Amino acid sequence: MKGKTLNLEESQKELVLFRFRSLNPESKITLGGEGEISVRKVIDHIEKGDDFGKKVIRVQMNMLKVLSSGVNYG
Amino acid sequence: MVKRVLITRPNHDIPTSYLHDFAKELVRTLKKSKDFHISDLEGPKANREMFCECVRDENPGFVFLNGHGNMETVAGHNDEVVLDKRNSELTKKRIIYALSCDSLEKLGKYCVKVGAKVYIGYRAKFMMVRDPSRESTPSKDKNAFPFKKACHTLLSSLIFGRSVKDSIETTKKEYRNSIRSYGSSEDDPFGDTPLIRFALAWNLEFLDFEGDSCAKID
Repeated sequence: MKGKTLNLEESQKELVLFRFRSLNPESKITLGGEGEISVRKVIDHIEKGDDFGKKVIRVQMNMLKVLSSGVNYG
Repeated sequence: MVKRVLITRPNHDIPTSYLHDFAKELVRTLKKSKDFHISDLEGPKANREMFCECVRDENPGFVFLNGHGNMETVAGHNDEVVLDKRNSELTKKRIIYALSCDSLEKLGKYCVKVGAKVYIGYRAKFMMVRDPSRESTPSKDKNAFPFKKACHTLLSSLIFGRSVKDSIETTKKEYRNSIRSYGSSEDDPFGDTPLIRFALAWNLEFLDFEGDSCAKID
């Protein structure tokens, strides 16, 4: 059986979704004056591929670079 | 020469109570110092009228705005807009730091266009992860600590004479350190570490400035 080939963008999206799906879906991030956003909602944005979702993917990928470039692996 | 600083510190809901706590130490330090004159618009004083009056009367070189924001405004007490295009001429020849959401993207650019030396802020929402059990005592919220620390780093760096570019770089370094070290040696009973790291990375990504990178507070 042939595996599905993902381009870089799709691979990143899958990786970021995998990481967010491993978190408690009811955990929340404060978004300034707009109140809070739950992990479940963040996942929705990523899945939809809207502007916020794209930013989340970009930030998460850059965060992984920061984590892998340092000496402290938390 | 005494350096003049103006701070707005609304404190009317949970997010502003955290920002209010973040600025507490800076206010305490500056009030003790003979090198600084601080105008502290705290709580209900963080309104548009007092802001405009204070900028005109005190002529601060550095204006630190805390509060809710969007691309075109920064608010104060009860979300009254304190800075927007209509009074942006007040930012002329000053360094502005807005600890609020989104305002750098449009308002920041506009302020620099009309004469602000620099506008420091966020190009997207300012993110934070709170411990819900500590909402009434932000100073005891361990989750908020790395966000507070980054805010302090930027302020201390600016206040003690480093350029905007250096101050932003130092703060970004602080964000990176916190991302790497957070949760590595701390208790994390609610499993918040991955989210805290993400929110720190978000702020790292979107903290930026418009204007003269070499500017310093004078």
